[in-house]
Amino acid sequence: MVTVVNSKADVLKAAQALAVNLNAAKGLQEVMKSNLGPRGTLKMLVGGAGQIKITKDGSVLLGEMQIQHPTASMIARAASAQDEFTGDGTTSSVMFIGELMKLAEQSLAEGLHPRLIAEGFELAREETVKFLDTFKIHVDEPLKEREKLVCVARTSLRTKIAPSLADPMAEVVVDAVRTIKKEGEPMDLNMVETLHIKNKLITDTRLVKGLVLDHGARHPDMPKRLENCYILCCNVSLEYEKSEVNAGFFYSSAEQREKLVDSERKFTDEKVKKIIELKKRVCTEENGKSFVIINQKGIDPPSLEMLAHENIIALRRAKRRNMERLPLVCGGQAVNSVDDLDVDDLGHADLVYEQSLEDDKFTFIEGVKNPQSCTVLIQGSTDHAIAQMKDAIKDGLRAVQNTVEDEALVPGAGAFEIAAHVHLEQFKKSVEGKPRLGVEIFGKSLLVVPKTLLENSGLDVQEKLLRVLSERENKNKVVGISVANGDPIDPAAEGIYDNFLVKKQMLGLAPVLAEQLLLVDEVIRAGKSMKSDGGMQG
Amino acid sequence: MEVLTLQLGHFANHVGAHFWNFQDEAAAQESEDSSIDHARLFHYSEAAKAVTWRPRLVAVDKQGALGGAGPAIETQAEAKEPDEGMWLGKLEVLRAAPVVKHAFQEDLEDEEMEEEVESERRGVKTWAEYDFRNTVRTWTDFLKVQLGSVYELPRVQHGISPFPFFFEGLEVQGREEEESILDLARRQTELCDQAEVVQAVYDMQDGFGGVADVVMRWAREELPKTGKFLMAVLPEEVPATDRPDPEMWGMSPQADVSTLALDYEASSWLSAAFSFARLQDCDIHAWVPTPVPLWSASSSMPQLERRNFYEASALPAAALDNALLPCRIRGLARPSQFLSQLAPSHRPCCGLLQALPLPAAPPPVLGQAPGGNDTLEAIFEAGAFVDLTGMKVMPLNPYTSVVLRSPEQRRLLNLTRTLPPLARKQSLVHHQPLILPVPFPQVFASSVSSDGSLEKGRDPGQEVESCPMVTRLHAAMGAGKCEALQRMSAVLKRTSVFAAMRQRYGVEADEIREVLEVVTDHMECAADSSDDDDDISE
Repeated sequence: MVTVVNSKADVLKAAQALAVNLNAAKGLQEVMKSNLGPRGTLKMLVGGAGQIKITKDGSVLLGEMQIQHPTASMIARAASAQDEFTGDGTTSSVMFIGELMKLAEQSLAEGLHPRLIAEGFELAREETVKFLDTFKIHVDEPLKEREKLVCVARTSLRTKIAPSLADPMAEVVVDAVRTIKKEGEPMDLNMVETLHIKNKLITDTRLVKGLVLDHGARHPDMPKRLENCYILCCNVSLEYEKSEVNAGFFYSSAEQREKLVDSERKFTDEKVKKIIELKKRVCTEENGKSFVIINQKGIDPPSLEMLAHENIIALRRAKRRNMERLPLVCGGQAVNSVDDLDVDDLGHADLVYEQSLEDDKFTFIEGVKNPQSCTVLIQGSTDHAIAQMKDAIKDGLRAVQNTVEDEALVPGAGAFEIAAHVHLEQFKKSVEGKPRLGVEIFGKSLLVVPKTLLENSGLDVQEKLLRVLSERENKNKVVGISVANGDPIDPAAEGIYDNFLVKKQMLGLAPVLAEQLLLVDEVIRAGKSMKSDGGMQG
Repeated sequence: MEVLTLQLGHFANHVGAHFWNFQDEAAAQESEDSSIDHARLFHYSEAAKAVTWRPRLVAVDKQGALGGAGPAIETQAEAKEPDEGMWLGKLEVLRAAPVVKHAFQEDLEDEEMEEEVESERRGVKTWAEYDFRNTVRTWTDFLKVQLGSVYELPRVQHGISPFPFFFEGLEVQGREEEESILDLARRQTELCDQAEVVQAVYDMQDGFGGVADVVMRWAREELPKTGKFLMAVLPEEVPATDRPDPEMWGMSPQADVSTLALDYEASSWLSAAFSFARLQDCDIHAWVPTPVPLWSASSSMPQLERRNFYEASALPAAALDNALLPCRIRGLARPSQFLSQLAPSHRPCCGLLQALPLPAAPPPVLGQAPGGNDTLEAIFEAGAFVDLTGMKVMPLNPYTSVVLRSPEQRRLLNLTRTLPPLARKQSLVHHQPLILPVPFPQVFASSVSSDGSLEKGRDPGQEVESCPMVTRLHAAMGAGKCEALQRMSAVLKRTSVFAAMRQRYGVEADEIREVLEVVTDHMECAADSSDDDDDISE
């Protein structure tokens, strides 16, 4: 049908189409393979102009890769969706899809119809999801189980950064999430600000219970440090406003023009005066309070001047997100007008100070009671180290968030995949007819994760895997693989946990995409006008 | 009174690069001419004993489109630094083929090293010696200014990933990309004392239309009182063979993954139409479409290769520089006021004519007032004007702005004599001709002398260094003859579009009809305003 619409489209038919899809899936798997797990390889990408990106994160890598192949980009998109939704499992998804396709290829070569394999996949998928539900470890009130949360965060972080860095960072992300969690409300990770400063060492990365803004006061006379501060968080333009009317004013003399400008200026001055009035009212000599303004809109130099004169720190153009965070950090509320300002609108912080580094200024708001938002301050001397840390922390935060929301965990170190494989071997026997082959392929494909973990650790894959499998079969307990020596371990004892959501999502996405790719029997590429070809040389 | 510049899209960045080259050249002339306020376009800072001027700019391009420059111009030194123990495992280095710096960029760097090089060296190498026409790969190759905030869209690879339509760009909404882009814009506005103008150049034919939409919506919220000027560019189609598209899966390379049933041209105009319609509620004051395929020919530029991004982008850049000159001259009315009077409210569509070089005034004719035969119409008829928008000129349009750069300042009076008073108020003359930076393409006829005069001609080997010029910006009236809008409406009326759009983007027929209504409305507004134009003019 489409070829009728567009006669320039390219068409690939059945077997050829399948071969194309298989190759894409296998190729992508090959690239991503070495990333998996705490013993995976870190990839350093050097761009044409010498710019550096260092990553081990599957989704970051996919974003950087120049994927042209349509099937490969479909897989990449599915994997990115996995990342967007759960923050982890990108590499596993790509590997799983690749393995499903690779193993299916053999059966296809023997003449099995793709439809039957797909049917088997579907049966196996449903069964595995059911099994996952019985396999997970329920966690009551995860927020109180700090130890478990730290374990999850550590498991995630150790796959991205060295253990000596990962362990302290795990505490940081857990504390960050515990700070922002409000009882009975869905969690918003945006309330954790991650800010980087190119300074010092990466080990100086820390959690600030408060807020750090990436800009400072734009007036030389403003104080650099204030203690015991009231904080006014507002969204009011303190810039000289021109009148709304578009028609030009015609003035016959310079005085008239001055007058007009003055009257326009007055409007802004009034607003500034109102704020200053409030300051004078609430900050008395007895209580020793000082005053800070954080504004989302602009503040022009004359207004800054007036405020500086009153010893007020005023910051303009704050991030929109920080206007949400600020009231959570220091109390009070964000105001949209300076009329009827009251002391209740103001927040409080013990300390507000400015730090400047070369061209950049940073403002720290610290010393707050009961913050419900916080800042992870990443420091480091190079851009790529900062970026790597940022990715790691983002994933760590997601892992903790998922745990809190799932109220469940899954033992890590490949334990789930091993158990599910053993379970499917049993289940297979209850499946009649050819779809059984599909179930078998599915079960085998699950082993790609433990296999790769072993491979990346430089261990004997066959031997170690068989040992772990028989351990599971015989003793029917939870076993994972130690990346140190390949021996069976108890993930719970080692504190290795994965997210329930990540596994569930992977089972939801990967097999479905693999089924679709298997069932494709025609690939059509839209054509475009050939008109341009004629005049090319001209 | 700052001006914030936005460059969204690959071609738009080419235009921008030429634009900043003009600014650099103008700043070099500062000593002789202080009427231009450079602080409006540039942010001046003094850090670590070095004085830097950075454009107040946010540029967005595809990944990899920056060629040899890359975003990390300053980070080369740190590349040699060892890792700080971020990862103990293996490290795999993947290197992209290094991009060789363009000769022009290397010379610029040398110049910076030995700062006290006599100014004569600047002109040592000429345009022909650099052979820009054949060697420029991307806009960073010929850019003279160091840019600060350049953002590369992740997942959109230059020359590889398709980014073909408005909606693809709109997808950045709610994603990390949106936050990053808007944060760059916010940081630039934070540096402004009082932003007055937002000038944007964007690619209207592809996803960058969507990105522009996102950014302009932000600007409407955060910078409500600024004047907003948009230049919508659309490059000539790039022949398919120029795109890196290896025969990865055994298919002929002429195909492109783009919208089914829509060829490049139709999909471009459709995308432009969606972008135009959506921008209507962003409070923009002027919207100037400058699609390369619709340019009228100009006898003064016979050698211009329209398909060459580097060359084609030079003309809109010169026009942008000249037409918005009134925003940068000290002591005039506020720039936002100038922009808001360019077009009637809610009819932002403007046409743009440019004469580069401007022919000398004809000798006075006996019996006529001196300069009486020196009119815009005469220049137009002589074929010196290039119509960059394809829009009919109405002679008595009050919404006209003529900007002249010529030592003969009196000519402005002659040229604008027949225009209504408002138009004359919006016009400006600057006593210096436009100085052409070295990378400006030398596409002038041999009759143009090195100082831009048409009579003397120039010797072979000589290059045009400066040019008197004039631009004419005219609004709305005559928009019925606006080629760009006509193309849009023609595509929108095609029935095949409905099915294709629904299939590809889930856009319902009603939405397409709404867009068509907006476009038609703007096309037809010409009719009513030309009726009452008699009342406005004398």
